[in-house]
Amino acid sequence: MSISYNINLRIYLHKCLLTLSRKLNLKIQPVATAQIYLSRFLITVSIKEINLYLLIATCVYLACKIEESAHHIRTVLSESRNLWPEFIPNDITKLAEFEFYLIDELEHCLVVHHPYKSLIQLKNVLSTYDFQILAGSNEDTTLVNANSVANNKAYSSENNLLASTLMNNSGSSASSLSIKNIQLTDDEIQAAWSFINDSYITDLPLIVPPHIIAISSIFLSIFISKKLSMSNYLNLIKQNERLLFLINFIAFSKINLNQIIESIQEILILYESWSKYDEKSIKDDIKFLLLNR
Amino acid sequence: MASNSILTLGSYKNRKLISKKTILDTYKILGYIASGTYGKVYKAEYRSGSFNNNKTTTINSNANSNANSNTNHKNNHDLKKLLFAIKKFKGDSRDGEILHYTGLSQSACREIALSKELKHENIIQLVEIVLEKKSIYIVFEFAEHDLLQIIHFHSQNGLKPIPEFSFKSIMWQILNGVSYLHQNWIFHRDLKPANIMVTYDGIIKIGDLGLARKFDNPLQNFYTGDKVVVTIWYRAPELLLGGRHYTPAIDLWAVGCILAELLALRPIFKGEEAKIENRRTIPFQTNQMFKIIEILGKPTVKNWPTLDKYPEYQHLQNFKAYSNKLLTWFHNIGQSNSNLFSLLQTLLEYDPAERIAAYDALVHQYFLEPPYVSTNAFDGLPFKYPRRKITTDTTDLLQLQNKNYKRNPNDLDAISSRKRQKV
Repeated sequence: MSISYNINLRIYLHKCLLTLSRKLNLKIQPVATAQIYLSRFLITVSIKEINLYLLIATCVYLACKIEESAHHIRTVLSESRNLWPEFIPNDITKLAEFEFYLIDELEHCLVVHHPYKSLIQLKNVLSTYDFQILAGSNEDTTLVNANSVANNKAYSSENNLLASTLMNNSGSSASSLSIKNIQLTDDEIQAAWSFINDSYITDLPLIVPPHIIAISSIFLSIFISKKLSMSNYLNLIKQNERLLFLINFIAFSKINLNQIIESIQEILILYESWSKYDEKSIKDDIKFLLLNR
Repeated sequence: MASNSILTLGSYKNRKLISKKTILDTYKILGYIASGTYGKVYKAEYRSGSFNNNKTTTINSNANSNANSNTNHKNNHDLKKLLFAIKKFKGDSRDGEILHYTGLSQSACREIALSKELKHENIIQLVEIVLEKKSIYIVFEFAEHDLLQIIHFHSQNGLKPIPEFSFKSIMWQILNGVSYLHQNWIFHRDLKPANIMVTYDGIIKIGDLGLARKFDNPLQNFYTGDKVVVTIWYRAPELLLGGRHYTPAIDLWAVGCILAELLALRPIFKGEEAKIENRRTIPFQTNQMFKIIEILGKPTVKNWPTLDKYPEYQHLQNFKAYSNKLLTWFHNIGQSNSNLFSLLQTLLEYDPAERIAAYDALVHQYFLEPPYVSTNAFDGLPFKYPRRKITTDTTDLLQLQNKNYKRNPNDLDAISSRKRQKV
């Protein structure tokens, strides 16, 4: 038996959680909270100890209550049973019992903050921000901060293109830019929103604060909107004023640069792994695991 | 078809049960304080030698603060003991033994989630949450008094008013706690004298977050979640008029009612609740609205511009015109301070948009004049409020404790064997 809590399994579990959420017509907030519960639970508990499908149902059930959009336990149970009839018991007490253990495992910390709110806030700030005025008075400190970050972390290593681009451009003169702010398009917001959605598959939401994931997603969304290819993106970034503006904004805002770089990389790695995603084998593995316990 | 074992928690549950410390391992139940729709509250103390390293730090810091504030109360040496209030949520129970897991109630979820996040001197402090054997226990710091008790004490002793210094310190601390909640985007929705505790050294502790919730970013209107909020006498007019999108101003109305009650030693708007006959239709609280109108006059679109937008607006047509008699009421209860009246008036403002916010009320003119407020509302009081009564003739947790601990309190083997049987 080779099943382990790897990226393959994580993609599958989060897909299952989203499927159940869709059946229950959930808003994004409870879905995101349920995903955090799932990831946190699996930090301390082995996938071999528990029934993963029941865990998903329980996370969703609890998250709905915490986000003040409760569903009756019977509704959650019956929708779960429709999806995974072999693995969900027809007994609400089993789900309710698991809820006790879930809450304990989460150490009773149930309130979760998400990047979606930060995304909207950042969108508003970016659209009204007048960089040149602000940069004029604070340019020196901006430079110092960006450089010190660049110097003391391994991220500045040369083979890390993204990091070095961020570092090299963060100090460049803002006055050379002809734009004063960024109006994110609906497509870009949608893309950033999707990056945030996908970040829940990774451990990122447990490691960095919500606004880091939000700004990283905005960066990625501007980045892909130009359909840049990885090979020549360094030059293209330099030609892309909006990206340069964002990089300047990040440097100026003193948001933790290392965390942004880490987040962007984590999300890119996720997409790379996704290309090798094999749902059939994961499903079989879980089935094997559960039936042979 | 799946075997039965995959449908349960299996080995995980066993692993958890072995390491779990029970509530009775840690606390000794002294008796119960109160019971309500939510369940029961017990008074408890630490079992000596029961705390693990992790807990000792929190307990020590509690002990220190207790000891420091204790210098003013020489005779209360038994208060130096570490006391706790343990709230046990009612489940699907019979004779105190909960039979099935049914899923946590919304109110238990709220209390767990919010208590865990909040930390403020005027909010009752969570100590720990224990989930065991299908029951939920929330352990809080113990507070010796509550405002309901204090009001009773004064009204029973021939309507002697609460000394102004104490009254003022109590009010300010309540507003301080409410302001903290509101700044953290939480409204309480059940402020009333019984939910406002006071420690033996005069510190206000707002409790019972069972109806509290975050109000930023609601996914649906508040009415959909809870049809009825706030105990009837303290319910704001916008709630009585069926408001769906109410604001934290509802808590300030309740604070206004509490202020009036502390002065008059009886509820200012003591209406009779129209009972809910079926869950679908929520009756209009005619009598409660009448009690308010009697004193504050009938609200109009002039002093409350959005009044005609409320769902139950048409019910107001049935009331005769009354004028505002709040000042008369104020004088009748023997008060004359104009700043105090102004505070009362701005808390009992009809239009929620005009009602004073908790944060602003903290620096209301009334609090800027002497006597100045103190963190010990009982400072210099020539008398002591009676201690909280506890009842020991209860079944339930106490009985369970007697069964397992009385004969052999230090016999750890007996405890662990009991645990093993349950597995």
